[in-house]
Amino acid sequence: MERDRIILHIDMDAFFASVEQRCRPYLMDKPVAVIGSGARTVVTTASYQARKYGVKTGMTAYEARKMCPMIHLVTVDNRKYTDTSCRIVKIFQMFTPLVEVFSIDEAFLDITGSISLFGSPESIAGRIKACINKDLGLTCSVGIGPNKLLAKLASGAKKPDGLFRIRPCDVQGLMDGLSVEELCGIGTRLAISLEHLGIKTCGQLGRMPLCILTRRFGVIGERLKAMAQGKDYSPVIPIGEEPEAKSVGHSMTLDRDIMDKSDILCYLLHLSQMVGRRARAYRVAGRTVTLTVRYADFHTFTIQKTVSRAINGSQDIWNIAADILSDISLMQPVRLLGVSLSNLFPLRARQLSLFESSRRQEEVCAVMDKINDRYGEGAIIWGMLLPYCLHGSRIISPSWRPKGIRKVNVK
Amino acid sequence: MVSQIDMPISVGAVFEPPDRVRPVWFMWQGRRYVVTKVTYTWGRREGACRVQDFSVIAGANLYQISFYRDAMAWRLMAVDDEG
Ligand SMILES: [Mg+2]
Repeated sequence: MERDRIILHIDMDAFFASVEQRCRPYLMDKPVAVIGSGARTVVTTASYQARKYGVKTGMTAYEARKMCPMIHLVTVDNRKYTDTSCRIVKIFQMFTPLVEVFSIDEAFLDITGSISLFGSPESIAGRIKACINKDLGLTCSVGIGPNKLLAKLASGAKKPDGLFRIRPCDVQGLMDGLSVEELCGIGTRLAISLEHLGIKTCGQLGRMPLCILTRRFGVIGERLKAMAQGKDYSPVIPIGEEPEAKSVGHSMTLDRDIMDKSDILCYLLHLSQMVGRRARAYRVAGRTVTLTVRYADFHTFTIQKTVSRAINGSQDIWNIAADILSDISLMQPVRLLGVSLSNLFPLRARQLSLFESSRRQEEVCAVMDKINDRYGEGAIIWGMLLPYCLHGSRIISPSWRPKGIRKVNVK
Repeated sequence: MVSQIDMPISVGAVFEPPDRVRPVWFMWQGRRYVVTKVTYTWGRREGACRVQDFSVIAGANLYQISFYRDAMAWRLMAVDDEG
C-alpha cells in the first residue's frame, strides 16, 4: 500500500517568455517567442498570447512568424533563467527540504511533513504562488496529488496560473478515460506500441493482464500498468541526493550541414573541450567515448570506443572521437554532433602520467581550466577553433539542474 | 531595437541590507538618466567575477546595466528603444 503522501508539482507558466515579459514591460500581453541564439534555431518557449496563434516549442522562427506575423522574437538568455530558477527553488525550500528539481521550470515538492507547520496543501500551494508572484512577478501552475505522477497530471489540468488537486478517491474515475499519452513518461512511440495492443486509455492499460504487458515491454510492463492505475511509488529526490552521473556529454546542432571531415573535427574538438572541462570539474574520468552523428534527414547513430585508461583530457577525448570519425564514411551532410564520456570513475588522487607528452597535456588542460574559471568560458580556446565562429549551443536542455554533477546529458 | 553598448558608466545606487543593490541614476554620454523602475534583476558569473544585471527603465527607453561586484564597477550593456 502507498502511504499517504502529499506531493506538489510546480510548473512555471511559459517560463522563458514570462521572464522576458517581466524584463521588458512593453512585451507584456504580447505574443512573444524565445528563440535560440544559433543560426538554425527554434522556439524554446512561446508566451500564452503567441500560443493562441498556434506558435509552439520546436518551431523555426520562420514558422512562428508565418503563424503570427506580429510576434516578438527574443533571443534566449540562459543566465536570466538559471538565476531565476535558483531563486524559485529557494522559495520552495522555505516550505520543505524535499524539493526535486525536475527541469529548469518544474519541481516536485514532498510536503507531507509540512502540513502541520503551514496548513492545508492548497494553502501551501497558494503561499508558494504568492511568493513567486511577489518576488519575481511570475505565475506558475501547481498540481497536488498523492504521488509525483498524479501531481504532474494535476498541474497540467489548469494552466496558466492554475491550482488543481487530485485526491485518491478521484483517481479511478479520472484515469479511466484518460489517454495514455497524458502520462508523464509515455511518449508518442510508446503510445503507438500500446495502440497496437488495442490500448488507448489508462483504463484499458490498467486492466490489461500483466503477462501481456511484460511479454511486450519487458520489465517496464509492470510500471506501465501501475501508472495507468495512478500508482507511482517513486520518491521525491531532494537536491544533492541525485544518483551519480553515468555520463558527461554535449551535443550541438551545427549552423549549417557539413560534410567536410576537417570541419567536423573542429566541432569535435570544441565538444571534447566542453565534455573534458565538465568531467575535470566533477573530478571524474571515463574509459568510453561516444560519438553521435545526425544526418541532414535526422537519421541518427552513435558509435562508442572504449580505451584501457580512464581519461578526461580534452585532447584525449578528441583523439578518440577523431578515431571513431575516421572509420565512418559519411553518407550525408551532418546536422548535429555529440560527444560524451561514460564508464566514469571518480578521481581521488591525481595520477601522474608516465610519459612526458601526456604530462604536458594535462598541465595545459589544468592551466586552461584555471584561466576559463577566472575569466569566463572561452577566455582561452584551442587555436584551431579560431577560424570557426563557434559558440556552444545556448539553449538549455530540460535536463538542466542548479548545480552538481548530472545524470542527463546537456545539449 | 536593441543596441549593444558595453561601456563603463557612473552610477548612483542604493545599497540595502542584507546585500541588495538598486541603481537610482546613471551617467551616459554626458547625460544623467534617472531610473524610474527596475523591471528585473539577475545574477551571473563572468569567470570568477560576480555580476548583477539590471533591466531598468529610464526616460522612454529600457537599459541593461551590470554591476561587477568584485570590481565595484558598472557598465551599460544595452539600450532597447522599443519600450
Ligand atoms: Mg513550464
